Amino acid sequence: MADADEDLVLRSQNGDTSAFEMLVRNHQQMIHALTFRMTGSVADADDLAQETFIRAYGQIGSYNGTARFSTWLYSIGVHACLNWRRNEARRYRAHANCAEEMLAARPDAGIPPAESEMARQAQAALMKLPARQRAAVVLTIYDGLNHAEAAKVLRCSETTVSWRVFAAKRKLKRWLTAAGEKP
Amino acid sequence: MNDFELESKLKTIRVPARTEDYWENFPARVRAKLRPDRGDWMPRNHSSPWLAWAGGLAYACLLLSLSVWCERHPRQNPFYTLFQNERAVSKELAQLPGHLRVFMQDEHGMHRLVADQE
Repeated sequence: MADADEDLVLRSQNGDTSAFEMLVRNHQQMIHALTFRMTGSVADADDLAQETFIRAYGQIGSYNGTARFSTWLYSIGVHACLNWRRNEARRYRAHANCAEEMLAARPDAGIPPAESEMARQAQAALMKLPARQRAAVVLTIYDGLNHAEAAKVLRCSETTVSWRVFAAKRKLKRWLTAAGEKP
Repeated sequence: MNDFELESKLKTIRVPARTEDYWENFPARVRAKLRPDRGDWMPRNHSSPWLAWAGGLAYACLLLSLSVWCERHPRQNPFYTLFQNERAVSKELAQLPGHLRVFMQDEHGMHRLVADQE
């Protein structure tokens, strides 16, 4: 655990909410990136980021410092996303809206339209994956964790992670190739 | 499409940028929600009064039914049977001092084993 986090965690464990607020400040961007990649929706990502920190505060008494605080927090975030239940209507709405939300929230300063289109296709394909496969992709491809580290975060075996990554990549390649071939 | 091409495509997804105000206010918003949830990692006891009331009520009902049943079936009452047995044992002991070895109770009543010698 980083020294700065160590002190803040100890104070948070003693009920100091201002210390916890500092921890939120230190890790908020990492958690928002995770929740956005897992949900494809800015609004849901915000809600889930908030829920992640609230859960973390609720469980902070159980944090014993064996892993880095950021890893522990990240694990809570991943599981909050995995438990995020969406009905079908919400899922379709997320598909339809994700590209628009991305463009609205970020005016794409200098991003070529072709890249925007590619990003939209990639996001849509990512959202079509089952949540656990999506989590494996987010951890290994975006965050650069190896399969053993991802297995710890996902609380499953390394073999399971490897299989999920393999299955997810196979589907993504198929969908993105098909999307690229469309006129 | 190979793995490298796939990863390059996936990495074109950018996390939407938020305003400085958003990042500034987010920690305070989280903190404001923590206060009512402080009890999350402390023992919750708001359900115990209900449990206590339910347990008490169930116990009272049990006692009431037991007393009604005892009143209606005095001969099947285990306490009554025990009392009767004790009286029978005392009587037998007085009549055959030093000869009684075993008392048994079954569905036909009390039985005794009497020795010839003391």
